[in-house]
Amino acid sequence: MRALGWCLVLVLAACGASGTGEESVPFTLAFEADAAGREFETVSGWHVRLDEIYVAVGPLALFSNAAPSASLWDRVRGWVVPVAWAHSGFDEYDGGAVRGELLETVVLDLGRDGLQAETHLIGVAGPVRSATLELVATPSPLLHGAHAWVRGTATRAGETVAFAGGLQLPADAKSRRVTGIPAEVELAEGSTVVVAVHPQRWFAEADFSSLPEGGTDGVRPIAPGSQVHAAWFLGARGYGAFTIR
Amino acid sequence: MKRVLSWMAAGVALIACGGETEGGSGSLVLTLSGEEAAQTGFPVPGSPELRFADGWAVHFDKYLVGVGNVRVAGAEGEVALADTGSVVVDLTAGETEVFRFDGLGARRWERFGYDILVPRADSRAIGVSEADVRRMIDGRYNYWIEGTATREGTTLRFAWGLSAPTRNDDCVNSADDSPGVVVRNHGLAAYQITLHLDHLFYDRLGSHDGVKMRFAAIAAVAGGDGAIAWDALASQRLASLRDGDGQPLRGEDGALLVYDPESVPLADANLQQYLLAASVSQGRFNGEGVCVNRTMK
Repeated sequence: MRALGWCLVLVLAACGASGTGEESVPFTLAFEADAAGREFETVSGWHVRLDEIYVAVGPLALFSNAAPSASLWDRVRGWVVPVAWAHSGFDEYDGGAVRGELLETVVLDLGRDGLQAETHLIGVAGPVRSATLELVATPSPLLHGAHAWVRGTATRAGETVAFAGGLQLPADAKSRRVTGIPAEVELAEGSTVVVAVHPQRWFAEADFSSLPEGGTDGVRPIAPGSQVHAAWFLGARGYGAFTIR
Repeated sequence: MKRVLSWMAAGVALIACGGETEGGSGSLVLTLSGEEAAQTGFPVPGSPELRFADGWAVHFDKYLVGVGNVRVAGAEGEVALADTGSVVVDLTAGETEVFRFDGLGARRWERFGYDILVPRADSRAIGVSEADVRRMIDGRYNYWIEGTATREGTTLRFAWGLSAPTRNDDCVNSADDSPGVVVRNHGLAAYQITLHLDHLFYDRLGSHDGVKMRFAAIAAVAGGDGAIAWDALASQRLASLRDGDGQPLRGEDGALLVYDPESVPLADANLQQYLLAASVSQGRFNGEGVCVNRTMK
């Protein structure tokens, strides 16, 4: 099945001249979980262990322009070599040319090691300097109707809090989007671009003592409006929640 | 709206002048402005957007900024100007002429950029005292901001040095969304480096959509003497903002208030670092024209 997928991609690549002088190339996009995101310390000293971690990632685009957080070299290079206008701050960041694109939604089990959701795609050869993706609410039972789902425990100074809950993002697109993920990847025929997810960033600022009691079996729900949910909202979309190699 | 109207006029004049290249040479004059807000503070009278959602009002006594390293180049990389001069200006004094460059080739120069920087010993001070310039140099501040904040009979003071020098490249003329500047043969092309002071107080980075100007989280760290110390802002965690009594800070709808940096990297997830990141996006061109704003690390 995997071989069939590659054949299809190669045939499409052979037929697919972009018409702009750029080379179309088949490549693989895959995801992986950062194992360090299953057990970690928060800023406020909670030791967190996540037993269930799921997230749904939707459209993802690989861009030619560096993210606003780019290195000095990228900034200098941007002045020497003309690039599309990109700007940070309060405006839409412009990634420039799209080198590759995942249009479907994939549900990731971040409790698993290794690559997952490998997808064969056709892209445009050249440097990828940034990426943007969306977090999506899917009907998958793993996500319980949320954009992400976790179950775990947090321990601090002898107190242990068992928790479970889903990340519910607002309806506006900006609140679901993770923009300007830095990348230093050369897209070429047969290359594999790996998007790593770091769940420890989700709860870095969470204070689990603020979770109200009252869940079933002593498991406290991460309800929207709670401090833990607010921290998750910021962390899941924040810088460093995703990296690319 | 005032921003748009004032620059439409300038844009029409430039567009009417036409051609991309014409030979000869001309001059480029740059002014610097913090717009109405630098002089009136917030709320800006007549502007429903330029006001704090939490009822605070802010007045600036000083809004000092270092600006320089003006760059002008063509789309293919030909450099017309790479100036190394810099100025220190108090934005509360209103729009000020800061640079004039003569003998530039008459044509459209598609790439315009400048830095917001820490003043140097040879920076020209315009309406700024020697002591203030020295303080900015010694503290490595590109902004020095002093003012008062008031709400319901409470008055707080702040005096902050911000250190987040910024490179602003590929500026777009807000009048017609065209890139860079147009220099006329024997002409004087006038453009404005514009600083959007409202950006410093928005509760969300990365977007203008749905953002609100807020001051309550800043005011909450004021000391007993009514001074809001810059260092005290680091005690406010973005995901756990507190009010003056140490209770969770809530918005107008009663929900927990957070400042959302979206995907913008911060050195630490606290309000001080957030404000520094917000200050990076203040540099504009001709009113609303955007530039690539990037921190110089």
